[in-house]
Amino acid sequence: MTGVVLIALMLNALTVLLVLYLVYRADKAIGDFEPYLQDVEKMRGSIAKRGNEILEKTITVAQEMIRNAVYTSQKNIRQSESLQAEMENIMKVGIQQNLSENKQMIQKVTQDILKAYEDQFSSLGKEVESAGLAARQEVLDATKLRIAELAESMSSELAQIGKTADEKISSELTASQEVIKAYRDQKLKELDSKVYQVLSQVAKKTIGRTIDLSDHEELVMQALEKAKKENLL
Amino acid sequence: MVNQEGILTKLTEGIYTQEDLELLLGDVEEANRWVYKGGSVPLSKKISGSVSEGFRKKIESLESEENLPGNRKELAALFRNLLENLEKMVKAKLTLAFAPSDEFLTKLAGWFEAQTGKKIVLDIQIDESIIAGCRLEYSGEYRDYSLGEKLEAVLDQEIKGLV
Repeated sequence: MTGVVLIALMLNALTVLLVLYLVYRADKAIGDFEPYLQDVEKMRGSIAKRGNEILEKTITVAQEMIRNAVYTSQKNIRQSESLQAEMENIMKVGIQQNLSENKQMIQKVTQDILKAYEDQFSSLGKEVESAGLAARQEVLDATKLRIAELAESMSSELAQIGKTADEKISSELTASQEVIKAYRDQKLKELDSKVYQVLSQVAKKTIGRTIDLSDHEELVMQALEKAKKENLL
Repeated sequence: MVNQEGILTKLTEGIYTQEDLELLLGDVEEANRWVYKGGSVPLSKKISGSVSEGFRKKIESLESEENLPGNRKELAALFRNLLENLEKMVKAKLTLAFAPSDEFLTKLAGWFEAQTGKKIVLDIQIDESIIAGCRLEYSGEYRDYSLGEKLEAVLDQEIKGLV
């Protein structure tokens, strides 16, 4: 029993020694990689620094480009405005000059036309004067002739008008007489109707009161018998 | 068993004109309103002073003859039925030139009942312009048997002859 325990203790001791040896070997291996890790860390820092430098430079260049673009645009705008003002000025001057030239040209042409008309009318005037005298005589002659014709025509027309007026008056008189007759007939009819109504009312009021009660009752019964015969009941 | 036909005949005794009928309708409606009022007192007593004396006496007579139902519900139904029958009564419109006496109205009513075999209510109108005779409206028909109508025809003929 004791032997077995001793063997077990020895095996444990060997195991511990083996573990310690493996730990030693691992630590040494890690120590071998340490320089490489430091190099990698240095490279990473260097790359990051270089990247930052590139980024800053890029931003600076971009800002510069934007400033240049803005400046160029403003410059172009100023130039455009200046050019526009210059062109407007040139146009104004050109238009005024053109107007002035046109005005002068029109005045000249007008004066020429007027002068040409004046010359023509002065020659025509004499011709018109002589032609006018001849025409006046012709008109006078024609007028005299026309007046004579009109006088004759008017005389016959007046006679015709008188005849037509007589006929119209006669016709109107006949129509008026017919209207009066119709009116008289109408009034007579109305009068007849009124006479009839008055007569009827007077008869109804007087005759009814002259009949005594027994006769009234008898007449009613006779009427009802008649209704019976006519199958009303 | 209540004889509704008999009650209707009794109540319409002496009813000749439209005015009589309207009065009777008013009395029946009033009696109907008293059916459930006034406790167990006889109806003829309850309606005293509210209806015409003639109608009250007819109700009293029917009560004494035990011709009215004792049950209030049945009595109310009887009155409702009576109202319907009264409103359905046949009418004749008669226009006269004079105000008829009661005797003549009775004679007229009797004559109509004899001719038609049923009770007829007369709607009497007075119009002196008809002079004499009558105008009659019955069952949708109209006839003028008045002297006024004849007189107008004669006058019309005479006027036409003059014109």
